[in-house]
Amino acid sequence: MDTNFSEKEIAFAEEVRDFVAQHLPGDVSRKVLEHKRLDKDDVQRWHVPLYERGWIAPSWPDRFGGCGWSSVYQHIFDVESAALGAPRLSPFGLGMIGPVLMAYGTEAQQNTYLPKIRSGENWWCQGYSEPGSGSDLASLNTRAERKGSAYIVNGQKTWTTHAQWADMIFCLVRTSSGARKQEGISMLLCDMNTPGVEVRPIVTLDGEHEVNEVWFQDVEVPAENLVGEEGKGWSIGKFLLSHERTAIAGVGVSKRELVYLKHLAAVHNYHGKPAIEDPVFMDRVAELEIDLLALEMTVLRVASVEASGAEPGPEASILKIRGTEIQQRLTELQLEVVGQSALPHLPMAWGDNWMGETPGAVHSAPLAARYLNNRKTSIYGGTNEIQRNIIAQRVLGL
Amino acid sequence: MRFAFTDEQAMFKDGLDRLLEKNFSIATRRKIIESKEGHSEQVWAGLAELGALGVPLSEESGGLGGAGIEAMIIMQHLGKHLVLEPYLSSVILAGGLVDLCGSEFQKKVLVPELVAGEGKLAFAHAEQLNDEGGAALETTATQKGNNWVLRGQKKLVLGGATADRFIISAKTREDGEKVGVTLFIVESLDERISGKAYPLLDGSRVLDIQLNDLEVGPESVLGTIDQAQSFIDCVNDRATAAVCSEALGIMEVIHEMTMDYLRTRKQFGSALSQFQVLQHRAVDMFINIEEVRSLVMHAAGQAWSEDSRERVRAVSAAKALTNRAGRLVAQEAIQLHGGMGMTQELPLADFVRRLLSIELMFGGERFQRRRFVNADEQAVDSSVFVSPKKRWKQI
Repeated sequence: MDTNFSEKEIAFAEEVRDFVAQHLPGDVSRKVLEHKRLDKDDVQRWHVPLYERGWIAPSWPDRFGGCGWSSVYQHIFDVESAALGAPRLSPFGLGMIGPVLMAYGTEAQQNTYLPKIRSGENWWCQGYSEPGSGSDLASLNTRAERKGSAYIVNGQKTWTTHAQWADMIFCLVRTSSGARKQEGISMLLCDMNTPGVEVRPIVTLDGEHEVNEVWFQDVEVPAENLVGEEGKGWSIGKFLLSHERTAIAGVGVSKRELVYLKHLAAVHNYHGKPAIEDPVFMDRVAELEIDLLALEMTVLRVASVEASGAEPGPEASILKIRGTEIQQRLTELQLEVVGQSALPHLPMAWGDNWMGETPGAVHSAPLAARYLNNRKTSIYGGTNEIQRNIIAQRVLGL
Repeated sequence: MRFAFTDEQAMFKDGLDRLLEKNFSIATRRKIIESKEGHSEQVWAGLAELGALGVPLSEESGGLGGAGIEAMIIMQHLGKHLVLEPYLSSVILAGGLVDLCGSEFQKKVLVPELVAGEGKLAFAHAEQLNDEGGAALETTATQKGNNWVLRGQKKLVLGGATADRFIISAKTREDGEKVGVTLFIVESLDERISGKAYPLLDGSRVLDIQLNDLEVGPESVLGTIDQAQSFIDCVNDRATAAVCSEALGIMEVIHEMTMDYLRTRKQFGSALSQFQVLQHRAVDMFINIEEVRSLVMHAAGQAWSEDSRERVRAVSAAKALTNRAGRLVAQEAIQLHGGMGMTQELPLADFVRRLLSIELMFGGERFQRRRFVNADEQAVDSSVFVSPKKRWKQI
């Protein structure tokens, strides 16, 4: 055991910093650092240089065009690029369906989809939740009936993040009704341009359009778009969610936001003195920073088990729970520091082309919306209560 | 960065587990506490035989050349088995000081005895107990010819009741804000030292000692005159990391006891483990323990380092979290055990009392968090963010 970074790892961190400094467009990083609205093109302008450098898929093995990096290298990349304001890449292709296709997909599926995920040509979205199936995901009832060489899909998915930007959707659908509700679920890949697919926006309580309803009416999906065996989609779906959990910890972003919190505390006063000099406030910041350090070490620990060949265990649920709690606490403390200067609410000022004046402090305005937006983190990817159920049952054997 | 143990570390860990499994139980522990001696030479000899007493000391000094990770393994197991023996005080604290600043001759005399289990050391440092982090050293050593005269009192000397020698810290220079501290090593049987032994919350015994103009020769000086403070900080950080590892071992046992209880205890016709509200509390205990494990490993990797900024931050982070998590784990264990959790009869009681003792020594939660913040002398580099002040626009 050696919990210090090696010289090679330190040199790699520098290489990453140099690359980001040279290739991340300045206007994109500025939007990220100031919590402004990002559009698809902003993310794409970071995706492409990474693709060209061969750094687009850190966790994928060499043979699928990935970096084949160790878990420590992946962590370093995450932290260093986030620190300089790199936007989060769309996770649905690179982090979710990509690993699924590598593990369960046919060679044809791998050859068709993986290169386009890497290049950024195809954006994906995730068709899991339904209006009646949230935490009880296995109760889903979007139906797919086999007719000749195609499945006919009918039903509705919801909370679909960035469906409005996606070219493809991976869906859990019911292909038969078994004795157990987990049986008879299958995973299908569907082109978003197929007739009968309709995307309807959902506006969240921060006023933004990020998630959607996706409706399917007699949508024809070619049978070769079935992933794995028919009726075995539940275990594939769970495999995907456990991959999602290690990425969902978001250590890199949280480390950046912690620096931002201290920065805000240096320029906002309590009783005439910078908040950073207030011992009560700084005690809370220190507590959060220590929890984040613990999370970071836990990510490295869990990831090193994963790298040794084992699947991410249910322990990864810890990362989801603590990672999202920390993200939420950061948004709360940031909001608390700026106080009333976060009251002015002018969402058009957070977009690209705003030329007008901004009331209040420019940097404070998006913090309230961001606080509200981040409430989602303890709900998505399996609520934190579901994660606790998973640990209770599969780790503690209760 | 690697998280797997080396083969050597894994073998040592297994050996330690076997030794303690065989020779140490809660019943034995309770007997030892009741005995006149208050400690067990048999267990100490076993640790010596295994080589554990020399593990975290450098090879140049006659140790086995291990460091923080090896100390972590040992302390975690001593915690798991709730061993009373003065490993922390004798090996980590006092042994560490001899290792770091002893002369060749002092090391030659002291280290082989310590490693063989034939001589125990204790570090007498604490004085005032009512000012965490702010208390100044009041014990003085004044020069008299070639000799030094020690005057003052030391409190809560861990392992003091069984030590053969004390290492005593004393002020040898005071120049405004600057204080020179020097270490002296003296025989515990010296009749000019008066000591008063008493038990702690966890059943171990400590000593308060009174130094009434104790005159010692120049050979008693350990290290360089006036220069001891940084070495004291160093071993205190090692000891703090060590008790966090011990606390981790204790919390693991407490959690396992609680899980067993939830699985077997029945109410309303089903096992307590079937109730979701209790499951989630058990999970929160588990998450806290895993977080402590992560920071214990991090601290173990830094505790032997000379880079004081990284060391202090890693150690203080670990202790702050260990204190908070330790309290949660103990409280939840008692609550989930119901009335039985309140009894002294259950071994849980012994673990809870030691865990609480650890929380109270080497600095509390707020003290450690402040130390964590203060160690970060370099201003936060937030140059990546444009200063908001410059960009304020008002309508």
